[in-house]
Amino acid sequence: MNNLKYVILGIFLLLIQLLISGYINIWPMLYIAVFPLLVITLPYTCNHIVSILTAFCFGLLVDILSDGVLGLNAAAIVAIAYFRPLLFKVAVSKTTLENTIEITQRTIGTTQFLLVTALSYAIFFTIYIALDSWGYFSFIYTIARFLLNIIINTAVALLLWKSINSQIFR
Amino acid sequence: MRIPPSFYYSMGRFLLFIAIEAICIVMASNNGIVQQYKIVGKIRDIQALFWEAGNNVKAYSKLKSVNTELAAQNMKLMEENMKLRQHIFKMNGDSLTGMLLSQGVLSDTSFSYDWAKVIKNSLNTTHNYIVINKGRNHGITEDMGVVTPNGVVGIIRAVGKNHSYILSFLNQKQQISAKLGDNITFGPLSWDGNSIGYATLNEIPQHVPVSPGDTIYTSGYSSFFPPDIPIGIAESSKIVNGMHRAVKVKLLQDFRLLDYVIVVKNNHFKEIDSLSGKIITE
Repeated sequence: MNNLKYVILGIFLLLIQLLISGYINIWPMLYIAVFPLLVITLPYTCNHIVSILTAFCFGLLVDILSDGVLGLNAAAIVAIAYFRPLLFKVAVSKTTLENTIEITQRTIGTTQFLLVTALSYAIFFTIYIALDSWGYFSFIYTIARFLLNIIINTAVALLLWKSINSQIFR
Repeated sequence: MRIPPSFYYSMGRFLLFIAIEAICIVMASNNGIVQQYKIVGKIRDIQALFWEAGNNVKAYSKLKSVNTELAAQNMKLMEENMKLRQHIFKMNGDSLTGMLLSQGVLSDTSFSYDWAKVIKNSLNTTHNYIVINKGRNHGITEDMGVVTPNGVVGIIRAVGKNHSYILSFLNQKQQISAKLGDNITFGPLSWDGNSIGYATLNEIPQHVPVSPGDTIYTSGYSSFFPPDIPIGIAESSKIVNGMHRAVKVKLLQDFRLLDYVIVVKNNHFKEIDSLSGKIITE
């Protein structure tokens, strides 16, 4: 039953991502990526290797079905999955993690959730931008793109998570 | 000293991570979009049905802008037509034919053209692509150029039965040969990656004057596009690394309004390609 929640969440995020990629043109430099939320919110107890493989398959699926370059989203989301345990150790206290299975704003706290999400997007966009346009733009421009994407995506992810979380993780 | 099992476990996870990242990097660097189109051709065919339906809905919403653009194009054609009529009026038919033949206009069979409808046009990444509703069944092959009366759209990189995939000009990997105004100065024109309305013409010698308002045309030095298709208007220029001039070009084609495109077939492409191959092997 618990796995079913994550399957539903994955399908939902995939559909939103396809809609955003296909029909919303804001600015070529701004990439709205909501699908990493699946990996960020996987249960803390989820096996590390399972989460890496889940991230790879999910990222590849997004690449295949959306406008992405094959392997680009997959590489970026796999990096989140790999560094996830470390991010939680840095951002959330040990006692909170011991009593937490589902990762939500309610279970780990809004500030901690915000921090984990922002750090996850920082990892995501480090890989994404490096693979997407390494050396193509100036350093300042790349840094501006990196920061803008982290800020906007963290805000979008929090808003989205707030609205879907109560529906799926009731 | 005994190595704890947790070390092997962490090392295993690390190696798995590195292996997956390496696979992804290879896929991404191997021109991922084309590869993706070839791998999932069947999925793309099904998706094309949805894109076509979605595009029909979109087409209604942008009818006003498309009409304005068509009216402008119409006006340009009328002006050109009037000028040509005046020329014909001034000289008799035989001398006109003679003049055109001597200039190689009538004998130029290098390129042939076909039209196609855009059913998918990605604009929001730095690796954009376009899908059109014609493919192998309509005589479309890889490496054909795609243009509109307002400029260059891209190059066909993968062909399905009824659809073709174009590497859009709005793609970091795309560069076309363009010339500045009516003179012989040319250089590579590429999208600036930032705004869908601008490109940069590079490697223009410093001594060549560039005035805002100069028109940029295709140079004809590539086998993909015929010469003299207007692409954009020079807005400003700056000297890069003290060597060359980089010209900021405002594109004439608004990629948001792409609806119908012209596929350009170079009838001598195979010959040129095989000659290039020979030169490389020598």
